Amino acid sequence: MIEFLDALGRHAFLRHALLAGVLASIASGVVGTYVVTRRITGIAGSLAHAVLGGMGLAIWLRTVHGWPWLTPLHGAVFAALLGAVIIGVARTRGGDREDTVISALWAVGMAVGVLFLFLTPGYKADLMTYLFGNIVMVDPETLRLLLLLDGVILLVVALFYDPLLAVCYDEEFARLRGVRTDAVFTLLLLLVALTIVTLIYVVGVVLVIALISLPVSTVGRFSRRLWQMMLLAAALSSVLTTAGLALAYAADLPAGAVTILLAALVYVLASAAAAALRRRA
Amino acid sequence: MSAAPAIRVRDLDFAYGRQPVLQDVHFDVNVLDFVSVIGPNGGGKSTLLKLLLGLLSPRRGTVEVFGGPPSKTRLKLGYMPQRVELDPRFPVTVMDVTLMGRLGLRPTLGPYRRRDRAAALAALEATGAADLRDRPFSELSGGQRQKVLIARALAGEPEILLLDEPTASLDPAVQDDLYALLNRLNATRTILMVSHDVSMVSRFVNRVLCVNRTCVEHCVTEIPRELSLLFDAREDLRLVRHDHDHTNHPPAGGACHD
Repeated sequence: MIEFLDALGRHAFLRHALLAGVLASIASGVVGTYVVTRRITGIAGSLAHAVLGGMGLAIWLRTVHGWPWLTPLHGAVFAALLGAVIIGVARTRGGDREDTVISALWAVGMAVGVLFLFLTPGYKADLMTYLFGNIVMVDPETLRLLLLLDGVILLVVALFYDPLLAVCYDEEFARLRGVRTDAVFTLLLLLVALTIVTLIYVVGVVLVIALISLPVSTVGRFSRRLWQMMLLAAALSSVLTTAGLALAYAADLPAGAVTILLAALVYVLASAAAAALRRRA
Repeated sequence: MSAAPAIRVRDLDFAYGRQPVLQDVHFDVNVLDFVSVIGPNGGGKSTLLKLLLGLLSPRRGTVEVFGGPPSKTRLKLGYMPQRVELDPRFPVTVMDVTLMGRLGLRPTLGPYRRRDRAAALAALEATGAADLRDRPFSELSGGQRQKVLIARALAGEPEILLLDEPTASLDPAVQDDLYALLNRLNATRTILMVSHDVSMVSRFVNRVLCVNRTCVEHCVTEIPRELSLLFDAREDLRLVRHDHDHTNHPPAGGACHD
């Protein structure tokens, strides 16, 4: 632990990584609460994988067509938002086709990403980075984008807290009260999309769902209200990403995988403790 | 009664795909009526409720609420869905749930105002659930949850309450309590309730609609006091004639005439 603190003082990349983990945790704690309570982890998984298509496209445009200002994260934001709109429209118009669209988006996004990365010379090794995260690759520019995304997410949640809660709890009732539920649900999907982007460097597209859902589910049993769940989940997630980073640094392991396993371990322990308490009560 | 009907349904047909659910449904609900909608499962009771709410559109015929289409006038309706459709583990308090009834009467952006909180609290007081307001909804008993869901419907200050099986799977004592509450609310509001339970309902309602593909109104007749004593009834009995054949179309003149 002291070794990690010492390294933090010496290495800027570690400080950036730690900050990126905390910024991603704030977004995933808040928006993950909606994802878990509304039971749309499948949609979150689909959007996470679709993001790879946007990143592949951005890298290809940047390298092959010389668009140096376009970063992979820009491509991720574009793909995630596009995916959210596609699912939102499918849900409103398509009826029972929603499930198909979610699955297709998942696979098509990945296929597009793999193709563009294949077409880009010298980028093949990066695929693993985007799939499983590489938190030490975070630079100050990325941090600024993460900060901006967090700001947007928190502002939207603050403004739409009550309609979002109502749509997650009882969508039909909310519609009867005059809430434009399809628009609110699409807004929720856009928030999920932006949250996924913040998590890409921390855990990678494949592991995103775990960090969105596990901390929220862990604190769920201790929360009486939605905002309490958000606060607790963001705090727990910050601890998990920081601890994951420290462990990974000490043992020279991939930080994303370590963080996810840590999150799963805490979830299992909390569930076991809660079950034991219930038996004694 | 010269007032326009609260609900007017004319020549209504509805089908899911090619499966007809309702045919030739025709009735009025007057202001301050207490109507019970009964009928077998799958007979179209909940579908009728969704048509009245404007969640479904009729294939033929019209539904009017205070003279307009339900999609335009639905803020005058207070709806209580079946409890089973809600996630019991969702992290909300009783107050959180009740405030949702205010959604349509406040700006879309920002938090609920003091006026909304006052109306929600008044609704909880009207249903006798005000002391539960800070409790998690998940910790309530079945009867308490029903009272909170009625309060949520009341919080929007509706003129008509639409209730979907408010007493399903409750103890008889709790059911009595709930019907007494609805009876009090009926003093100032029109109530239309889907129910599986004819015997309880007939003590309070003034009209019974039986929905099974078609809709037939049953006569609810006041029984003379002397006769009700023979049945050892605690309150005035009412008689519901249930004399039509469910398998076929209703006999002509099956509707109740005043």
